[in-house]
Amino acid sequence: MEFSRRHFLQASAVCAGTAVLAPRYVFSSNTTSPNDVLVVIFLRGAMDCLQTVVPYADSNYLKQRPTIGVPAPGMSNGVLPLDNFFGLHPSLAPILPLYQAGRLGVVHATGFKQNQRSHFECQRNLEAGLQTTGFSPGWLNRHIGNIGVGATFQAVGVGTAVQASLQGPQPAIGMSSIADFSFKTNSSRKTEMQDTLYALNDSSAKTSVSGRQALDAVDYLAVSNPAQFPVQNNAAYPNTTFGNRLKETAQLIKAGIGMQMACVDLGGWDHHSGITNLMPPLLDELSKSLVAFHDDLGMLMNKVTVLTMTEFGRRVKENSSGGTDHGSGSAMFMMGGSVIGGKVYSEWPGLADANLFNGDLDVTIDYRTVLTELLQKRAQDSNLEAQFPGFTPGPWLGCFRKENLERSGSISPPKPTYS
Amino acid sequence: MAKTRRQLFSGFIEADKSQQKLVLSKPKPALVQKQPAPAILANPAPDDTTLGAVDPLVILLNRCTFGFKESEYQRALSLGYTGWLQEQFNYTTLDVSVLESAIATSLPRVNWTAAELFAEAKSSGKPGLGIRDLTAATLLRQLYSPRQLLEVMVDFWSNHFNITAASAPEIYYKLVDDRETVRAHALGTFPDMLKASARSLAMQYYLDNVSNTKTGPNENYARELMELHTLGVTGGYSETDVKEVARCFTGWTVSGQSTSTPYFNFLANKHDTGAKTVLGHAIPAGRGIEDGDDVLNILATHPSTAKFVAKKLCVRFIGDTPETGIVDQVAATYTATNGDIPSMLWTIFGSAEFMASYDRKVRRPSEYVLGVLRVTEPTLTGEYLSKINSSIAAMGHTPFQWPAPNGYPDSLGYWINTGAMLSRWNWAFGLAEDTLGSPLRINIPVLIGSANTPTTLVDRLAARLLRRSLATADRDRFINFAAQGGSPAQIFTGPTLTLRARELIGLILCSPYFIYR
Repeated sequence: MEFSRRHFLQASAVCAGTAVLAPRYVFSSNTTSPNDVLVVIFLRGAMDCLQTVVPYADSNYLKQRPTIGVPAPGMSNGVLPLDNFFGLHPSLAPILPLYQAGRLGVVHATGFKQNQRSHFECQRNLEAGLQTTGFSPGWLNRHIGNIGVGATFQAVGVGTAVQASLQGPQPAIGMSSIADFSFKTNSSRKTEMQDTLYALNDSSAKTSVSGRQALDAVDYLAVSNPAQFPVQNNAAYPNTTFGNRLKETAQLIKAGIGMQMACVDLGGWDHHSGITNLMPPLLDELSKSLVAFHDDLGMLMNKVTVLTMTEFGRRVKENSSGGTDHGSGSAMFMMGGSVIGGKVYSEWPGLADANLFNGDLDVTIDYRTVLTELLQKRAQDSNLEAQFPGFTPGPWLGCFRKENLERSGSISPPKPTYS
Repeated sequence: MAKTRRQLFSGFIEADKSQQKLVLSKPKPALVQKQPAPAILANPAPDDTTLGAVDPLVILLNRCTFGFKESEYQRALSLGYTGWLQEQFNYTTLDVSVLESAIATSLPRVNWTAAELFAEAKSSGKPGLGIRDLTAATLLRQLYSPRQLLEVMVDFWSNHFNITAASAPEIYYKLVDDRETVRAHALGTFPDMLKASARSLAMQYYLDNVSNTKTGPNENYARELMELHTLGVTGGYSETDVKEVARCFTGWTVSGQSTSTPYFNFLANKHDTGAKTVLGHAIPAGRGIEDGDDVLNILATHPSTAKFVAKKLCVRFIGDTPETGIVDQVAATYTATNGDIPSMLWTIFGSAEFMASYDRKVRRPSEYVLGVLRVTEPTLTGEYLSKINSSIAAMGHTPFQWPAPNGYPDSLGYWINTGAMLSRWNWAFGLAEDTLGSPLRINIPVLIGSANTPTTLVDRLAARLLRRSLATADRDRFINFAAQGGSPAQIFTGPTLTLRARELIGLILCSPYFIYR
C-alpha cells in the first residue's frame, strides 16, 4: 500500500472536523498528561564529579588531589557546602539557591559499575541502560514502548543527532533548532511537493521513516509555533549552543505539544589536563543554563524533571597534567518540582586507596535505581523488567515525590550558609 | 548502455591484471547482476523489482568522490573502472596547480610551519586564524580537486586520527598535522601514518601526551591510541596495558615553545625507565624513546589493528555493517602488505560485496551538501564558501570540529533523523529554487538539455543527477508531479519550463535516490 500523506490528512480533517492536522495531534493535549516532561542532559566527555560535588569532609580528598582539589569551605575559591560532607564547586554557585530551596538534589557515587573505561562504550552502555556489545535501544526508547507512543513530539532529541538514549524502534524527533525544523520552498506547489516526497519515501528504511515523520511534524509545529513563547521571569540563558537548546526545550514544553522527554547534550568534560582552568567556564554555563530553565518555566517546572548523566567519573588521583584520567563513579543532578531536593543522596564509599574500585570512586548506587524511581513515580512506567532488562534496582532513594507540587516553582532568594 | 558498462566491467580484473601492481589477492569474479542483497543490511536496498542494479562504475564514483560532475563521469567512462582507479591512486598526475595556487594565495596558513603558526597565534592573540584557512581549503579541495579519492581518504584518516581543532595550541598545529600526518600518508601505509601521528604536535597536545611524565602518567593518548587508532575497543588490551603504554610514552613531548620554535622532543629525564609489559611483550628497563617506538610497532603489526582498520575501511566504502568475509580479506591484505592503504582499497573495490553495495551508505551532511553542488555544478561566486560552511555547520559536520577523539560517526543511525532530513531538503530546494542567493546559482538549460516535457525532464534529470534508473513507481511519481494533472507529453516553455525543472531538481535531490551515495 502506498503512503499518501495528502489523503491521510484530508480524511483526518473530515473525521475531526477541524483544521488540517494529522489526527494523532487533534486529540492530544499536554495539559492533561499525568507524566512529567523528562529532560535528560548528557554531559559528554565524563565530568569529574569529585570536582563538582566535592566530598570536602573526606580527609583523603585533598591528599589524592593535592594540586587540583577544590579548597575547603571558607578558603579562597573554596567549596560551597551543601551539607557537612559535600559541597559545590564555586563555579556552580548559581544552582546553590535551587538546592537550598529543595528544588535540586544530587546523587553521588552513582553510575554504571563496569570494567570499561572507554568514553564511547560507556556512553553506549549508560544510554542503553545495559551492558551491550552492539546497538541496543536506549532506555528512553524502551520507556516509550512501555507507556505507548503518543504525540509526534513525545520524544525529542535536541541537536543535530538524536541521542542514543532515545534511539530504537520507537519514534523520536531530532531537532537542532525550532527555526530549522521546517520545509522551506517558495514554490506555490508546496503541498504537492511534500506529498510527492512522502510517496517517494515509502519504504521502511530509516531515511524514509524519518522523512515521512518530518513531513508529518513540520506543519503541526508551524501551527503550534513554539517560538512565540518568550522567555519568562527574567530568566537569563547563556548565549551558547547549550543555553539556546535549553531555551528552545522550554519553548517546546510551553507549546503543549505532548512532549514527554527531551535529550540535550553538553560536551567538553574530558579534562585529562588543566582541569582547574577548563572546568569553571563549563560549570558556569551548565549552572546558569539550569537556573534559567528553572526560572523560565515557573509553575510548569512542577511537572518537569531534569536529570544530568555522564559516562563515568574520573580517576581519584590526579595525574601529572593537572587533570584526571578515566574513572568510574560519578554524580547526577536532579532538578524540578518532583525532586525531593536539598540533599545529597549517597552511600559514600570513601576515597582512601583501599576503598577505591580500580583506583576510581566506587559506584554504590546504580544510576538505574534512580531512573526506575523516576519512571515509576513521574512517568507512569512501572514495567521494571522492560525498563532495564536483567537489572534489579536497589532500594529507592526516595528522591522523587509521587504527588505533584501545587505551590509555585519560584524560589526564595539565596541565603548565606557559610561565613 | 548499462549492460554495456557491465560487460566492460566484468572483464576488468583479468584484462588489467598486469598493470595492477597493487592487487595482491586475486579478487573474486565480479558478480554484478542479480547479486542477492546481503541479509544484514542496516538499510535494505529497495525491494522494488523494477529497480535495476546500479552500474559498479557509478557506485565507485559515488564512494570515491564528493559527488561527480558530468565531465568527471565522462572521463571515468573513457578510462573504465580500473583505469579511473589507477589514475586516482597515481594522483600526482592529476593537476591541482590552479587550485593549490589559489589556496596558497588566499589561505596561506595551510602551508605554514609550526613555528610560523605559533608565532602568529601568539602575536595576534587569535589562535583560530589557521583553522579557518584549513577548513576553507579542505572544502575547496573536496569541491574542486580532481584528486577526489585522495580527498576522500584525507577526510577518512583525519577522522580516524581525529584532533578537535577547538583550542590552542592544537587548533593551529592541526594545520601541520593535516599536511604531514594525514595528507602525506593518506594513500601510503598505515604504520607510517601512525608513527607520524604519534609525533604530531597537535596530537601530542590534543591527547595530553605532551605532559605525560613519570611522576604521574597521563593515560589519554595511551588509551585512545589502542582503542581508536589501532586495536579497537575489543582488540584485546587491558586496563593494565593502558597504564603500561602510558608509561612507555612518558617523556614524549613538545619543546621549544618558549623560544617560538616548537618541535617534537623526547625528554629522557621525564621518562619512566622501568621495565614494562605491553600486550604480553616485555619492554626492558633502562631505555628511552625506543619504548614508545616499540609500542607503535607492536600495535601496527597486531592482527587486531589489521582487522580494526579493515573494518573501518569497509564501513566507509561498503556499508555500516560490512560482511565479515570482506573485512577478513582486507585485514589479510593489511597483514600481507604491512598496512599498505592502496592495496587494502584495491581489495575492497575488487570485491563482489562492494559492487553490490549500492544504497548501503547514506551521505553524511557535508557529503550531501557538496554532492548536491558537484552534480548540479552551479556557478559559485562571492561568499559561496561561507554559505556552504554554514550549511554544513548547521547540520553538525564541520571539518575538524567533532568534539571527541573518535572522529565523526560513519553510520546512518547517527546522522539520520527528522531534523536532518529537513536540513538536507532545505539545502537542495534552496539551490534548486535559487533562494540561497547569488553566490550559488545553477544553470537550468545545461542540466535539462533539450528535455521539455514531464517525461523527458524526469528521465534527463534522473540520468544526469543520479546516473541510475528509477523504479517504475517513482518515475511515475516524478512525472505526475511535473505533469500536474495534464499530459506527461505536454511541452513546457519559458518560465514554466524553468519552474518545473527547478521543482524536479529539488525533488530528485531530496529523494531517497540521492540521500545515499
